[in-house]
Amino acid sequence: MKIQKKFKSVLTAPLMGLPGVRLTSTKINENYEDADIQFRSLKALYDKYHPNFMFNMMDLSLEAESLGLKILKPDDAPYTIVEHPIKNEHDLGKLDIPHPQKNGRMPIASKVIRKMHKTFDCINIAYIIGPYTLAGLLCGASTVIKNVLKNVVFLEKVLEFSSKVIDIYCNELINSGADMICMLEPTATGLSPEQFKEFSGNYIKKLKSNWNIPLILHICGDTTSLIREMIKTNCNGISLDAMVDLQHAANLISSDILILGNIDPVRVLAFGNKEEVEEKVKKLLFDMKDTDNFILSSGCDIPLDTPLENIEAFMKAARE
Amino acid sequence: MEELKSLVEFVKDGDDEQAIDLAKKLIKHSKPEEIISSLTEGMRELGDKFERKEVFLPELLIASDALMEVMKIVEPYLPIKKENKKTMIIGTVAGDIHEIGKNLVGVLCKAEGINVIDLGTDVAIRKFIDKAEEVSADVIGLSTLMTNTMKGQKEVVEQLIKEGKRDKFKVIIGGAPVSQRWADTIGADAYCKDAFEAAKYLRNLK
Repeated sequence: MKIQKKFKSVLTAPLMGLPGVRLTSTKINENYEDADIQFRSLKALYDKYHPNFMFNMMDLSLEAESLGLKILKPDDAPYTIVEHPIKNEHDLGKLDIPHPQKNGRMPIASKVIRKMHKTFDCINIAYIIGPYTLAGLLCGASTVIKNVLKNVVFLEKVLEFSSKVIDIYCNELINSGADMICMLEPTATGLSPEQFKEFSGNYIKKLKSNWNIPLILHICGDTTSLIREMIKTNCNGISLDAMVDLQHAANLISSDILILGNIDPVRVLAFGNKEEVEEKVKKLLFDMKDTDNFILSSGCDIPLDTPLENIEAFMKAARE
Repeated sequence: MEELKSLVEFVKDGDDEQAIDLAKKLIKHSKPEEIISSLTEGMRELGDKFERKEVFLPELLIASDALMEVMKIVEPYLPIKKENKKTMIIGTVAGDIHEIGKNLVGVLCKAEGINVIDLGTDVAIRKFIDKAEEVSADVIGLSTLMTNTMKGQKEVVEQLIKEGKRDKFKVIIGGAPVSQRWADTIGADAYCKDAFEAAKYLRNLK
């Protein structure tokens, strides 16, 4: 994907949705539950900052909710799953594959993507959960991590089911006009490269072969040891968190795979000042100046209460 | 002692069934302190392997489960030495329900002889402070996995300062998105990059 060279300045793809909630003076839950409100918040961000890539709002509970899992829905923080009810194959058998136009908030996200596609003159990216992370929400994260060694047969069944859910939902997002998919697979962060390949990478690779648009793979934390396996999924880009050395990462991958990263969303963007943001962005741009496949982004989702002037400084430093 | 060595290996391999069987046998004719000290040593070795990326989170979790099971068998036989025992309050900060890292810290610190009081997940600032005062804790351990909830660690330290209680407790923090720099920024006493570092911090605490 050699798209970078067409542009004079670096491309920007901040993982940003929540700060839009503040621009529209709405609540987080209103944005998750109402496509028009979420789109208004995203449009406020788009109009103010004009990044080259826009994402819908990051939401790791969406697929799990469509499967009937219990969700904690505070009005001022992202949703979380409170129960992980799938203990065995019998429990798994009781779950139905959701209908993406009917179940949970899948129709809301699809509507947001349709509106983004119609309105934003940029690359619109839809988030989707990764198979291992969805398995972790169904069974409990510590259970799926232990089952890598303790119960592979059951884990594989859950991963196959999770993959089906993800595939169906992703196709709906593609049909709604997503230009790219960004898959979030945070629960895989503690696995060895071999474990990642067996219990996440191989499933992602299979899913990717069904999709006709580019895939960015995001895993939180220090994923340095996983990078080689991440790109073996045939994804078209990887999004790396703040603790990864991007220059090192760039040396590990070929120039046709995008590298998104990795200004620290909390220590720099949320808690730093605008001078610090500018300094960090400029340093990163300098370090990556010879990497054509680099796209400036945040290491992870930008928190709700990030000062808007810091986002402004991020975008301004990129354009200079 | 061969059997004790085997027990340590079963725990390190996360083979809880064999570990439990052997621990039940061993406790009848071994000193509980010796068992615990061998297990702690074994877990430190596992920690070194984790550091060198020879083992990963799945291996750690099954080993800590096995350790916890063996501790349940051995603990009742330990003589009670309350006066020197350090106490740590531990919990995941408000808004965050992740517990893997926190639980690992709890198990390893227990094995180091620390009195660990686990407040669970999504713990309010007030609860950390009130409980720490109630039990005269030495250390408050704050865990978080999400970038959106990291500020909860900062808020606990701020509240302690506001109430003039900051010097009463050491505050240690951990979790995937945090760092030494974050600990410095918020004024925590230590950042522990993993559960083994937390156990070491508690072990060396005067």
